[in-house]
Amino acid sequence: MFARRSNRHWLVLVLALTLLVVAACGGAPSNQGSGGQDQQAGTGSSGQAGDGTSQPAGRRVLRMTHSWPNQIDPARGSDMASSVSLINLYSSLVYPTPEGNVEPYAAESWTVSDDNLTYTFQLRQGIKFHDGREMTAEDVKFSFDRLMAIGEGFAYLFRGVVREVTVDDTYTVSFHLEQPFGPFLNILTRLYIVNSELVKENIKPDGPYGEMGDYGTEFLNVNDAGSGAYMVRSFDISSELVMERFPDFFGEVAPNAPDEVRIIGTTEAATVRTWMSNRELEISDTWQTAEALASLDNIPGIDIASYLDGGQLYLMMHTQKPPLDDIHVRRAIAYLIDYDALVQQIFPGTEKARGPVSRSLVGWNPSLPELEFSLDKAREELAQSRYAGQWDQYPIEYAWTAEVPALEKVALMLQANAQQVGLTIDIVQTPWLQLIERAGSKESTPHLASIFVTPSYGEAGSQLRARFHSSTAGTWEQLEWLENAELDAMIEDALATVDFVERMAKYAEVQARVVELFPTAALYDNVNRHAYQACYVEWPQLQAPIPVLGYMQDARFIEVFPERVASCGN
Amino acid sequence: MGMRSFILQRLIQSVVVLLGLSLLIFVLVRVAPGDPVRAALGPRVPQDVVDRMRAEMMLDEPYHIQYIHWITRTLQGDFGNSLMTRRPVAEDIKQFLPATMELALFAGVFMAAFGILLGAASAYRRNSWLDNAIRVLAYTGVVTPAFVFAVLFLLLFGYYWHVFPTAGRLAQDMVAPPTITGMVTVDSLLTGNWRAFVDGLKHLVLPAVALSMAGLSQQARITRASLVDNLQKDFVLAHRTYGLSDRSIMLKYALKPSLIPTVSILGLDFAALLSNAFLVELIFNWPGLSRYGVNAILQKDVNAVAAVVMVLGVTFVTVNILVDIVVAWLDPRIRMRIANQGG
Repeated sequence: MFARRSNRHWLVLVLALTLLVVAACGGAPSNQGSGGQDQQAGTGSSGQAGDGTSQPAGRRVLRMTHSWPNQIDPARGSDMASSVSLINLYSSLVYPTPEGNVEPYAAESWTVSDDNLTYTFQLRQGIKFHDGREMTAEDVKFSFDRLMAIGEGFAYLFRGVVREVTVDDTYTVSFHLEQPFGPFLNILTRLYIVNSELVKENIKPDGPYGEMGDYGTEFLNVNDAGSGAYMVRSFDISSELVMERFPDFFGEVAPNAPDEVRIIGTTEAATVRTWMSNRELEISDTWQTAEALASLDNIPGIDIASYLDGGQLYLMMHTQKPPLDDIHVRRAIAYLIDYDALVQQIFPGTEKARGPVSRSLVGWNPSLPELEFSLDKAREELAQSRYAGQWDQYPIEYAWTAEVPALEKVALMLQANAQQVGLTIDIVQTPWLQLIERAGSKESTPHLASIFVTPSYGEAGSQLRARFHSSTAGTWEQLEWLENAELDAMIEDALATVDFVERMAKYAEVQARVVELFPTAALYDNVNRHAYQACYVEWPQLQAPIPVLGYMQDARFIEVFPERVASCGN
Repeated sequence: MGMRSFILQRLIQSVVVLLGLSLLIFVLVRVAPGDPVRAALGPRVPQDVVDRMRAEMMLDEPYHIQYIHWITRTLQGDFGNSLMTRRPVAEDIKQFLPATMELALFAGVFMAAFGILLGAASAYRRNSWLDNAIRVLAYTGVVTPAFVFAVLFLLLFGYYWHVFPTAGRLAQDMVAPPTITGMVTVDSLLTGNWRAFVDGLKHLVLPAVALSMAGLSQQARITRASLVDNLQKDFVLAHRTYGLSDRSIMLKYALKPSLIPTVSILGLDFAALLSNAFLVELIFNWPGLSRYGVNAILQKDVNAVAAVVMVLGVTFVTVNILVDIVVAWLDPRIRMRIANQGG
């Protein structure tokens, strides 16, 4: 046996090694740097800045987390992170307003032909792309043609709507429609204009788009060709987009708008909390849980921003599959949901729905009733059903999306309540991609599924067409298989109505008719919630939210005051 | 059989293992439910666009044709295009692998150095309070997942005491060194950029230490057990009767044979570092290959998943061959057995 000497030698050795590492690397994070462009791809970056504060000296930085991936090619991106990026990097002809209309943006004016089939836009003169070239009508046409040829991103909005785009002169461009389409100006907010010359210079000849080769997709995958208020400084495709202010931007910019915007690809709660607490993150993503947001709300200087995003969670009911082909059964199921528990406990912060369209969308019908929880009324409805007394022969399958665990709680709630009225509901956890595949045929579509649907533009017509027109039956947006010719005609008529007031009235009628047919139960109006640094960030869009994905985070309107950080408290 | 033949044999075995792995991962990513192209393009993209991309990626071909095409291209270093990043997977790997390798190497060095040191200290002071403390720590380290340490370190050293940076590889306003190896610390050293080197090192500390904790603990336990065993053997007693000091016996005679099991397990631990890196990379916003790989799995990015698994497989196999060589160097009995097999 070895002699029991003092353990001090070993302790000293271990401590010395530890101290060596800490001494080499430790101390307060010192980040003195000269600034400048990242020379090495994929370095990521920490939030600490040169002067040891959370904001770099002399610069206003806005950092936001988002779920990933982020597609910054305007012919490809359409999700939240991509939309925020595109809105900041590019400009469109028109810009959405909180009232559901549009206002001039790259276009200074427009006219509509008498037959409502041609929209002619006059571009502002002197709009510069990020390389200094002036925007012309050719760029608008090129952007549209490119979007439609690639067919991804927001191209679906224009399919079957626009026949062609023609250039009338250097600053005049015309859109020729297949048929009159009332919300045409709203969908134009999703046509982001690219610098055609820059893209052409970077086209790779090998590609699936004929003489246009790859149509510049490889280039625009990590670069921008826009004229927006911000331009790409670096893009680490796995984790972070860094944008800096474009000094020659043509539009309005708030006096204290950020010089630099960083979109960071993480939603990890511990990371977000640490960064928010250290003032290294200004706006969190919308994927933080209620518990995480409550915890962030307790940090001095941090507030929770909430706004309706235009989407709803629906309980979709297969209207052609027994026993749900009986409207009494569908109504009974709607009575089996405790809507108060839903918005207060399972999805806190959301609001009870009133009709099949979110109240935040222009054209919403406020006269429709809220759904209610009542076992007695459910029993009454079931008693009127032609399947009454045969419930054991008609088990009902409820598919909940595996990627959203909270939906299981909805399914369990419904199952428990259904048991009390004699209905059998089988709960099936289904991956999202599998649910999309199952939606492809009437036979494989489940009886019930809870799916979240957001509008493509801020008008009720977007949601009504996507959810209830026969053309979307068999897609994830309509598992109800409604296929009602009368309703189709009403939706088409409303969408073809160019007069705004008249169109809104028709939307209201469509919503009332949907409620009569009862193919779906709108469970709640979704609310997006972010934690943000209220002590040094002013976010004016919160006063008048725009219910179009991404526009709430147009950074040029958000103001950052680094000088206030020190007074935020801890 | 000489050492050269032994290495050749291990290489041939490795090729067979990698071929098997390639077949397995190819099938697994394709039989999982859901259309990968639909997942990448989103639910609102029309079916004809989805079909066009499926055709471009040959996903509409029978599996055996797809496999032959894929393995042929893979052998040429072309892993196809990623559905997630929309560019060649080889380009993604070139970008993300160095970050993970830098993290894993730093964690590996930390793991080996401190694991052996703590194991040796524990064995040398067997049954003392130091031994007991190290054993408790080692058990805790083995059973605690890396992400728990990551969150703990993030909160301790990033949130409560602002000692280390908590995200990325460099500070926001630090000029990154030009890419040579892709490892920030190495590239900064090569270009003499000391500020970037120190900053890169600071950024490495928390994720690397969090990542290394499980391996470090395992190394400490194995080293201790092996060393305790060897210290009770006759040759140690013989050395002691010759009047050699405890320290000499420990360092010159007992430690080297005790490291054989430690080094043997090092290869597996290194592979574990790569696979455990995902959550650590996520928590510290570290743009590495593990994070890329898991995102690829979530997005059902078939080419990226297959490529990441193959790259990690090749790394694992290579490290294990190196470990075999080192173990043979450490242990003369293994060298003799190899030589005898040839005879």
